[in-house]
Amino acid sequence: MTTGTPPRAEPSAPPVGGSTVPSTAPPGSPRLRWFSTARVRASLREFLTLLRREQQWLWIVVPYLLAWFVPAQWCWYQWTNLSQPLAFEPWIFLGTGLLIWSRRQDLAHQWNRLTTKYPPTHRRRRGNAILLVAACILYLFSHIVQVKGITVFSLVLVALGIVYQVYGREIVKALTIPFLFFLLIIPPPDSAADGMAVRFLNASLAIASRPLHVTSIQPTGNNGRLVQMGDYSVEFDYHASGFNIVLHLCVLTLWYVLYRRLNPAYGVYLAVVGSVLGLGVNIVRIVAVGYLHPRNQALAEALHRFPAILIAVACFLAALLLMRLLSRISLRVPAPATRVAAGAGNAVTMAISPLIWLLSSLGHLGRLFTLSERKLEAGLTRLFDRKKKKPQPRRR
Amino acid sequence: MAKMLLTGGTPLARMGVLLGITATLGTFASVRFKHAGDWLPDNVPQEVGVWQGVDTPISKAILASLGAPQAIGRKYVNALGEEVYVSIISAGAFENYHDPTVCVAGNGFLLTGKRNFLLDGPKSGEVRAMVFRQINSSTGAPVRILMYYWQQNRDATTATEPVMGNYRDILARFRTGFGAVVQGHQTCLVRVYTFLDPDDEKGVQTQRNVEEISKALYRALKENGESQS
Repeated sequence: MTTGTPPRAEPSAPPVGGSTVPSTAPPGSPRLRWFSTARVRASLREFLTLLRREQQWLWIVVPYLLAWFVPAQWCWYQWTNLSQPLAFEPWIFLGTGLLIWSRRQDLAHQWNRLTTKYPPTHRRRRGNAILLVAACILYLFSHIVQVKGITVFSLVLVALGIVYQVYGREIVKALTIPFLFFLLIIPPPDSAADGMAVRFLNASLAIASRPLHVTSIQPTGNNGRLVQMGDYSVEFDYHASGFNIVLHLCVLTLWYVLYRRLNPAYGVYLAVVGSVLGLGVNIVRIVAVGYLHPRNQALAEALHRFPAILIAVACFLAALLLMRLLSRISLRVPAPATRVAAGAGNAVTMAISPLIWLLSSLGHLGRLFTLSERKLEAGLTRLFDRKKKKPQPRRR
Repeated sequence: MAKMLLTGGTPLARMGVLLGITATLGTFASVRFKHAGDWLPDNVPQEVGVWQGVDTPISKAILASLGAPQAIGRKYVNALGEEVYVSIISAGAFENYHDPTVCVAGNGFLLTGKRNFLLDGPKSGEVRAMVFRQINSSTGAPVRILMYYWQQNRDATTATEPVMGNYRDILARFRTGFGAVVQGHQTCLVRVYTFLDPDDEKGVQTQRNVEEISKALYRALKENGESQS
């Protein structure tokens, strides 16, 4: 990948039907299982070889990580508390990397087309530094005003600026979806998130009040609610709002739909089903906490503080199962029009992101859902071996 | 360095150097904000005319909500039993800058009046005077607070703009942040307040009391800033 002087040989197009990603297994060795210690070691060895070969990217990676040092401190509490609404944000890095990985063939084709058609200095092959410089200025401004949303946005722009300067406009266009997903790492104003959490908490408590025989609900500090039930009271805060569960679930659903390039309607159904499940679980949790509080306060508190992100993941998986079931019952529920993320990548995507190559080589994390869905599909086919009901045509 | 940045090395190296400089300057800004919060005057008067000062330390919970700055809390009492409360907070990062219009209002008070004026003569700094009101739930009588608030730098310049809102007050934050990072300002937030006596309907005596204490504090901070600079 030519990125400096003296110019290097342009990467060749990926061989037809094969992979250009160096195999993680030495030639002639037995096929390794998709996740094993030997594979991890082999992947790490290859990653280190790649790093040694692509050392020039350290010029970018190290200062970029340094630039994240202060904003990460500002966001630390929200990122490390698993019940905070924004606890999903650190995972956006991984999600974006996997999205880029899933598009590596498109990127490779695009790059090959550009390299064969245009000389290295053509404006379609190279961008300029304007975006990067503007992003750096915005970063400095954000440190003067100490607004973490602006700082994180500037860092997203920096990444975009680097890709634009090195690879040009066409590659940036090809990376639109991953970069738009990357924007989810920008924290919204605290008041917006707190406001939504309070609304969801009020609604959840209103629904849970009947089974708990609630007599009064009073606001407390930190946007909490003191719920009076008979002769005792329980304080609920953002942990039990349900907003955090819904937000995590929607982001996870979005990533899943983008990664697997599914039918958007299926994504909407999935998000709605998952959110309903998540809110239902949250209300059951509130009722359980209210019931357990006078009997076992420690357990009630543990239940109250159970990480919302884990509940969201569980509800997402349950929603996937439910959607499979529903799509088999009725054609009106959109089925996922899947195109499984294709096989190995090539030198271009490795040059774009050695980290993505590492993640793919280490565990093929993106394949986890594909494998589980295939198994599920086979199981459900056996269980519901019947024809779907087709909607009757209208009679005039 | 500039030549290397513009023409030397590979494009990735040039971008990396630019990023490195940017990241370093960003970290430097955080250090400067910490420096801005390192000034807490040690000459806050114990007596002001007929007023006797009594230390009333600010609670740890409140300080934690403000980002754990250095702080002085004091109450001035005169022979008539009138009291004026003072808090001085070292202002470093913006989480130290809690505005009374938000914090006092958050405790159920309504802002009913606000005015800026020069505290100690034509060449002095500007302060913000506010009146808050709340109806006492048990007696039904109104409770009123008169508060003077300002941000004072070592060089005796003051500011009264709210900077709590991330986006709403972004220009004010930029001015304050520019002062801290580029000009090296060290700042204290000063609040001087008291409850209006129900008999002092127009607040004349109350204002006189608050103004006397405020002027003494302004002069003390100015003197401390000049002596240590």
